Amino acid sequence: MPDIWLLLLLCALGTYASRGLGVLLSGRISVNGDLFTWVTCVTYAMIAGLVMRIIVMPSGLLATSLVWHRLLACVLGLAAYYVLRRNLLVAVGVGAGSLIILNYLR
Amino acid sequence: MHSAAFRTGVREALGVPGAVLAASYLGFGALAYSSGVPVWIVIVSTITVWALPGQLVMVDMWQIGAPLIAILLAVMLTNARFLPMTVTLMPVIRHRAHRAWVYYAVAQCVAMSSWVICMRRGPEMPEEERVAFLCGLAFGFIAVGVCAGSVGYYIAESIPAVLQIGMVFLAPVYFVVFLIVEIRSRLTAIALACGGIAGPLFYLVTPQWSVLLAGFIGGTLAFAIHKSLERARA
Repeated sequence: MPDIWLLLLLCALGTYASRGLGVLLSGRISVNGDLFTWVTCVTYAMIAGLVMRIIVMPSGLLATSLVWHRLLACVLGLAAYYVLRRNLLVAVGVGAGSLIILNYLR
Repeated sequence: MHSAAFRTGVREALGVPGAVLAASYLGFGALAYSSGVPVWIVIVSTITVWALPGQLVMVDMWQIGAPLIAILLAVMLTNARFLPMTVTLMPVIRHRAHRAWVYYAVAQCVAMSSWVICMRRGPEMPEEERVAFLCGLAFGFIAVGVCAGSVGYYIAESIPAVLQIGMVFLAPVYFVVFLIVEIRSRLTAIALACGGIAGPLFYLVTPQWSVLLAGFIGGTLAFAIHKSLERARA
């Protein structure tokens, strides 16, 4: 395992690189080209990939719950969002709360 | 520095967007605790990386023992979206009163939360005050993130496992709901679907490289599908 502080330093620099480069290139490049469309695709795919993996095949504490409980909890959270005034806070609360209850009743 | 504009930014950050951010960072703190990461990593990464998906990728991949280069590439790719975001934000905040280095310092404020608000509210206020407003926004959001992250970490540490599981689930469920309700285009829908399928599949093959490959290959596939659909329509 790499040292986590070294890792954090590199990740912080690597993240700033995009921001700093954005300042440098501002006014010189168009953001509507194919390159940035691809970057958008990769970003969304990576986040979706990580989140789906955590839900379907988690490690640690989440692995002690059932996969269909976790999926059901997500669906309930999503349903709560649309039913209860499109409130993201409520949705997240309902999702996490339902997993606690489902897992407790098992 | 325009302190009134800075305070307006802080106040804006501490409203509803701050509450949503707090919930997600509360979950990140809990997840970091269960991954065996020190609380200082939660605090320092929130200030220095300042991008929740990137922080989540970093902690998760570190925990499964992925090689440093794989983690770094994955974090850089998830955060590469800041480049176009910064490019589009600069014309909004630019003013002749600021020296060039100011923009490089302020760039650290660019994250999804502050970018969305600054793009919308910025044009309504005097040009020379916008940098201060953006700093206020980021200051407020980062403060919320640091507090919520460490609180989440300590709550997860001290509550029974029955409840802890809900805390650890906060961040994943936040992203599921957020990503699905925020789908604005066919492009993002395709990218989310490709990544969501590729993530678990690659994990079966190579856990340590799965996030990077899911993003790179899933994203590229989504891009190809998007292009061919565009061509089919033309």
